[in-house]
Amino acid sequence: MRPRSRRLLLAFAAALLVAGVPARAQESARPSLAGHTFVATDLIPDAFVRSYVRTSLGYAAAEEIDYPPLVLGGDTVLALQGSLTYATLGLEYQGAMREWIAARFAVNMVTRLGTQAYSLLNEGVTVTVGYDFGFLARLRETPKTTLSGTLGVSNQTSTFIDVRQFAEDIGNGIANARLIDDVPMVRPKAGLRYAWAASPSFGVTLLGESSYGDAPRRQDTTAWGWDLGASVDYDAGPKHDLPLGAALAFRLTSLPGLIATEDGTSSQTVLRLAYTGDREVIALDISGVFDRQNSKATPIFAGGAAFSMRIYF
Amino acid sequence: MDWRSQVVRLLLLLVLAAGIATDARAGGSPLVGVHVGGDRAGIDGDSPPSASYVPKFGLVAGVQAEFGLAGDLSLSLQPSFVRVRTGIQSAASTGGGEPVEVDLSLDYVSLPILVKFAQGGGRTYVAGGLAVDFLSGANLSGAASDRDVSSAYEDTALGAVLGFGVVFPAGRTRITTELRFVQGITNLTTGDIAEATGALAPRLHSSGLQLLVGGLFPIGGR
Repeated sequence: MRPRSRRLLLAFAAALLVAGVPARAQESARPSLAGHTFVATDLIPDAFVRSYVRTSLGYAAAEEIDYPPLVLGGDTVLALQGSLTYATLGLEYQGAMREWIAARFAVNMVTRLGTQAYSLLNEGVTVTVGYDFGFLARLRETPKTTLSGTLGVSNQTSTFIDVRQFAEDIGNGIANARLIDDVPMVRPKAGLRYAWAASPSFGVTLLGESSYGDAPRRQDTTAWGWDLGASVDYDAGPKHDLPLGAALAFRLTSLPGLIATEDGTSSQTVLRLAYTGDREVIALDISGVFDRQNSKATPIFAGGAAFSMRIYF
Repeated sequence: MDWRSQVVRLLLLLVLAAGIATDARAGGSPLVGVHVGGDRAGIDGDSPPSASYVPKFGLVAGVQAEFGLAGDLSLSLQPSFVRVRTGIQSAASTGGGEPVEVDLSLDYVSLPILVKFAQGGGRTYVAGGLAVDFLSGANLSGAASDRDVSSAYEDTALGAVLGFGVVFPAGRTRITTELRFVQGITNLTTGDIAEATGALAPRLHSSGLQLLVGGLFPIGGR
């Protein structure tokens, strides 16, 4: 995505933010059902039509990754271990236009970097920058549950600096070998979100999403993708009258966008510890990422933390 | 006419019929009007080696019809002519030379199908929906050449639209200004040229902003 496009988009999002008029004459700014106020995570978004702004900043690292041998011009280089670092940055705005429908807009950036010489050679650097926008509509609500549908489009560009592939291409005499490749991906998506207030203290959120469009890998023109996830959250307000909450969320993704090879699914787990005010949620996320990468000798597990802030209005 | 065009036209007829039917049920007067504006959409995606895309101002002009759905919701059909212009800037072939820029112009007959959500007592609105674009011409000009490149681009394209507008009432007329973000969701190129040379098909999408000014007039006596 061009820098000028990003500036224009941010200006457009700012205009929407200024213009967006919360449509709710709502009893509570934060999402709640049957006496339970949900503690949403960034991994599993909530199913409620609300207006909010969210920012997040995160970091994760994977240590001791075993790599297969590197072959250059017929010579095999000794296999070694390496490490990886991930960083994430996100900004999202959702504005309720009616009690049953909201428009949303988000920008995000994720980087993946080999942080030792051998892992830098093997993994290179990947930077994914993009935005997505769309609508969230309430389909059905009962006193304890709500079901919502989402429609949207994401536009992301992944920049791959693949030192290993470049070296192999040069060694194998491939013409027009590229060290840096920008892969644009536009993908329409649709999904369902379901929330259940199990008790005043506990809530459950489920997510199912499907997308179709440009494939993350150059070799494929288009590809289907799906995401499945669930979270269980706890609100300490009803029993202990404390503005604290927690959530445990898990999400499975069929098309991890940060890797250029065929890698299968990846999963993420987040434990959220949060201060829960009337309108704001300030959270520390302890996260784990599990990538089953077929090109590696062992799967990759990364652990890290993120700081997230969400303000409802 | 290929089967995709037939399906798209059938869908448009169904949407139009649904709009008229829902408007009759909602009891409001349909609105018709015109709009004109500037386009800063350009194209985004894979560029030729040592080249980059530079968005340029294009043109949007068309007519529109708006049908009341329920409450403050309305369905808006906006057949338009859209010219998307992009500069393709290539690095100079010599060290001290000037970069070379050619102008790619894509002309579309576009039909955005939008749902408008009125806000602030009808003075503002948020619009969202899809745009079906039919390519009517593609031209590459500059650097002492001017040629038709329509065969390199798909005949039909699909885009997602999200807009914010302000309404200025003037008697029975409504003057509207709208800032609209358009994101192409299908690949603009056929990929035939790249595939003929053994390369992977490029990925190109339209992407950017449109600023429109329009007028809407009620038809019927209500």
